[in-house]
Amino acid sequence: MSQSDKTPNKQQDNVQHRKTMNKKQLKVWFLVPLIVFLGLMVMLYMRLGKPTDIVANMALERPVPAFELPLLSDTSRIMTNDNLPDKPFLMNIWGSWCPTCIIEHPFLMELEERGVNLVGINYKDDIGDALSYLNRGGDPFSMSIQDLSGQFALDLGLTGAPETFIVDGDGIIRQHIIGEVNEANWQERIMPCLMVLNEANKNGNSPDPSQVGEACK
Amino acid sequence: MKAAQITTAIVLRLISLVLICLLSMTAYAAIDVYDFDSVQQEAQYRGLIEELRCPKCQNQNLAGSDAPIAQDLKQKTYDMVKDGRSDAEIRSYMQERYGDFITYKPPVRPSTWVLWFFPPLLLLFLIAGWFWQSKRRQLVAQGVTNKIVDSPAAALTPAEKAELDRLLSRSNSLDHDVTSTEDKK
Repeated sequence: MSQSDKTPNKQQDNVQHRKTMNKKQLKVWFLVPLIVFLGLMVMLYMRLGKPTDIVANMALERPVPAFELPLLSDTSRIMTNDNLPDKPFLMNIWGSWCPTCIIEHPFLMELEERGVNLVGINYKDDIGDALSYLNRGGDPFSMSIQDLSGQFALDLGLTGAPETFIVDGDGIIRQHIIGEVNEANWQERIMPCLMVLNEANKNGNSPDPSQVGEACK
Repeated sequence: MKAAQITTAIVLRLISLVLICLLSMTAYAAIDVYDFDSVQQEAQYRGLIEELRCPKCQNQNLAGSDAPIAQDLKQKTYDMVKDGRSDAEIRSYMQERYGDFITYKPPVRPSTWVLWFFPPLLLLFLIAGWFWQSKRRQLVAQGVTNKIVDSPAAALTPAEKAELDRLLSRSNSLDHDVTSTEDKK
């Protein structure tokens, strides 16, 4: 009798112990999901409206990759890095097969009228198609280089056409625009960057890195 | 008679199933037009296009993508594999142009330590925590009293104390299982 008396008592005690401990723990453990949730909310809210595409380009802040490619208008002439302009310019990768390039083309014509120096890279295109494309829509490029194999584009870290690179007077790539160039991104990021580069080029020194970082980001 | 009919039906079905499998395999083979010198080269190529990411499509590997740039990169990978280059060489070629983004298996270096080591560390930490917790519970359950943070009896309100006495007296008199559902209420 005395044995059975003792055992339930002890059990009762243990249950009680466990309950008090659980109560305290519960308070803390209830907070954990709440804190995690709040953290997540803040994180997600901060990202709202920001671009979601990851652009990982290694060509930036590096010289234009070495190339040896024929001129589109006269494929017997081989162009190299030395033939690139020694003033800041835009390097536009295009193809007659690329729908966005066709949309972008009139704006490139307008940029040429505004006195922007454009160099075209004709990317994996049939030469006949490419030339008739330029005849039809006009040729905004001071020269077009033929990249039939797409190797040069690969060296540039191209993801598709059209893409545009801003190159400074020293042949260093300063900005990479994926997709079309239009009035909006011209005003927003291309023109400011180009102005800084032009300014530096006029003074005959390399552009100030902090200024470039500010304007060409 | 009937049994024979059923068997022929089953055989026909099996044959058509095998045919379907064979046909789909030829369809799969028709997509890949690359020829390799050896099985190893083909395996290397397949491994690489599974591992490398298409730079245009944000979240697709080269094997799964039909984007023009993915086709170019597959061609490049093929050329380099044919050329006898190693995985590391091909990977570094791609990384030089497209950065860490190009591969689904980023290299281990200080900037990627968090990526590589945080999940296993978290797992270890959680397992250790869980062990510690269950060990403590066990000790408490065994009645090793010094593991208890505070005295539970002191924190009881008079009402709780009365309830406790009632339950205790009941369990003593009835001598029944204290963990029965009725008492848990």
